[in-house]
Amino acid sequence: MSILRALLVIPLVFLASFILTGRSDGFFLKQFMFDDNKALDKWSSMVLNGKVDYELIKSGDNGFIKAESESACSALYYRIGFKAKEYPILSWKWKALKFPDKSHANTEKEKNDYAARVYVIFPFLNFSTSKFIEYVWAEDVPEGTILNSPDGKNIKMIVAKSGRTTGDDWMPESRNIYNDYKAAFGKAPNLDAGAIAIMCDSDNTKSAAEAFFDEITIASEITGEKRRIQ
Amino acid sequence: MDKAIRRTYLVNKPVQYRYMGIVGIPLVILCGALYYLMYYAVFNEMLIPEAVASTLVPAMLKVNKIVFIIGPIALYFILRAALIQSNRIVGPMPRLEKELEKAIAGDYTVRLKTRDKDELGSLVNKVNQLLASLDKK
Repeated sequence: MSILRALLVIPLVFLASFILTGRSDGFFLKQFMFDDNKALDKWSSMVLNGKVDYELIKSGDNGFIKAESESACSALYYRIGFKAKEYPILSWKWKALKFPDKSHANTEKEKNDYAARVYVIFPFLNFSTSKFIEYVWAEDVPEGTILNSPDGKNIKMIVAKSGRTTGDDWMPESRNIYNDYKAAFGKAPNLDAGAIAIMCDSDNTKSAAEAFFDEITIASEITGEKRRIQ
Repeated sequence: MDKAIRRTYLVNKPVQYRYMGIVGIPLVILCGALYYLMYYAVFNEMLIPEAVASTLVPAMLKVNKIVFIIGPIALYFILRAALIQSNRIVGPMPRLEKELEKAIAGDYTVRLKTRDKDELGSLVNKVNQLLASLDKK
């Protein structure tokens, strides 16, 4: 009888601890601090037009991603499925030190280079029905502007940061992707997000760009203070 | 065995349309699903919209053009083959029924005719043997 009781109680204890542990960290769906040497192992690379150099830089215990593009365009993406309504907050830190030279760019396609982008990808059965939000750091477009991508009507670019910054400071960003999706596409997302990505590109302008990314977090609400979880 | 000359391929529309549907519809669904899954698999590997737009979409448009030209032609020949094949089974039926009605009426001299490629040749031979034995009595 006691063995039977133990067999019943032990799984319940595990279940309870799992639920309680989940609740305590359920605030965050995922947090990428890039402090670990293997932090980029689960990120995949997609080369579009020449490979951008994405490097994991360690500074003491802390780490971040440095992206350098020389007339190149490639992205790093991480597959993670989540409902934008349940985990609407995407936050990250970034800085852009070198912007693509758009002085000679005339067409929208030629201008489609940004020092830093953060993507939220809502994949469906094919490209034409999938939706994409790109948060871009633009040099010359006002913050909050929603741009149509020259690559398709399902790709909306939201200018999250505009202009050059003074100094070498990290700029924190926090976006509500559920609200941004509604603002960009005119309706709430009916697809789950399937991946996030970062990119630095300068291939269209045949110039150079340099950006840094850190502390990418997907959370259920805006965090009061940054917590580090692994 | 006397040979009959094929005059028309569509002798029993409901049966033959059903036969063509059994061949054609699953084929179209299967090809469509494979076509779709192929692009879905590639898209799912690429994910980044600019990569999809610059490589997958142009390739897809080229393939679409080819599929839209060759697809209907291929489908026409497949359905035509299904029609011919169904005719080999269904085609002789009305004629055999007509000849057998004569035999039922007492005319055992009648003989059933098939074409070389008809599927019922063996059965018709047996019926003709039966009619011949009845005629001898």
